[in-house]
Amino acid sequence: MNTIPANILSSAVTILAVLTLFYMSVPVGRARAKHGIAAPAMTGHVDLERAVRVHMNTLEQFAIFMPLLWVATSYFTLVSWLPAILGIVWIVGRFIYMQAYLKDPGTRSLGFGITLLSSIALLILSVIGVVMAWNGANSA
Amino acid sequence: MHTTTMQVTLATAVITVLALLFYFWTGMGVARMRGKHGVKAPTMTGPMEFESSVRVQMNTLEWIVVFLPFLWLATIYFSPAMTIAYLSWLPAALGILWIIGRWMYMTGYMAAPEKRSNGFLIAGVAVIGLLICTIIGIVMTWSAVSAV
Repeated sequence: MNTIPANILSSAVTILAVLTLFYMSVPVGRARAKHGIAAPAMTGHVDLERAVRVHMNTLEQFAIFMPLLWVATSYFTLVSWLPAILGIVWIVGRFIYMQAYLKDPGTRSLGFGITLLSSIALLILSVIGVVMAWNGANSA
Repeated sequence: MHTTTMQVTLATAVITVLALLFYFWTGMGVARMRGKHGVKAPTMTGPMEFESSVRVQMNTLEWIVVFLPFLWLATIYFSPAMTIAYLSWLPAALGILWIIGRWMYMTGYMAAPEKRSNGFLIAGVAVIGLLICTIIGIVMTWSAVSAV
């Protein structure tokens, strides 16, 4: 894995994460068709409302995850492939979240927790990376 | 990379992390209001305090997707094009202004929805400033590349 540059790994994860975000919109369309709820209505059946929340929450988390993935990839060079691995964990967590939420909103915590921990880990790597780079820039 | 450019880029990375932490905090606000008023997912309506927290989070999401790309484009194209060192710090300064404006928006909105305007405008001015920096930076960089 050390032979593949970190930015290529994170690019691959970015493509997978974008596809994941897109995939989370599919149940919304399916629920609209199944229960005959035309746009722009966002309520009307619990299936639709759950699907909408899965999609929106994934968008909300995506906005945090994606910049942190790239700040960590750019600056955390100690273990260069680690940000990409955490990206994979994030994607897996999102799928667990979706599966659980669509069945029963009360069980969404595990998937949410996995993606949250992945983002927190990327935050920590970002901070470490930025501090190291800052010290490097000032001592140069 | 030039030392100032490196430091400006790092400052933008720090501001990115701070902006994301702030945005995450607005999401925690929604979770807090869900607990306080007993609004269970996937319901998105309820007492005004809950709906206000939802609007704060959603509006911050709507703006952060505009803010972050402009912040980075301005950092990449505007800052290195500035020969006067302190001007290259302008994107980072506007980034801090955005976070301050958003913070005022959040606290204003949660106090009373009509008190959200000042913070909204300050953050809006920061984004417009970053847009202008981005355009200036791209035009200057384009001219430099074409002149070679």
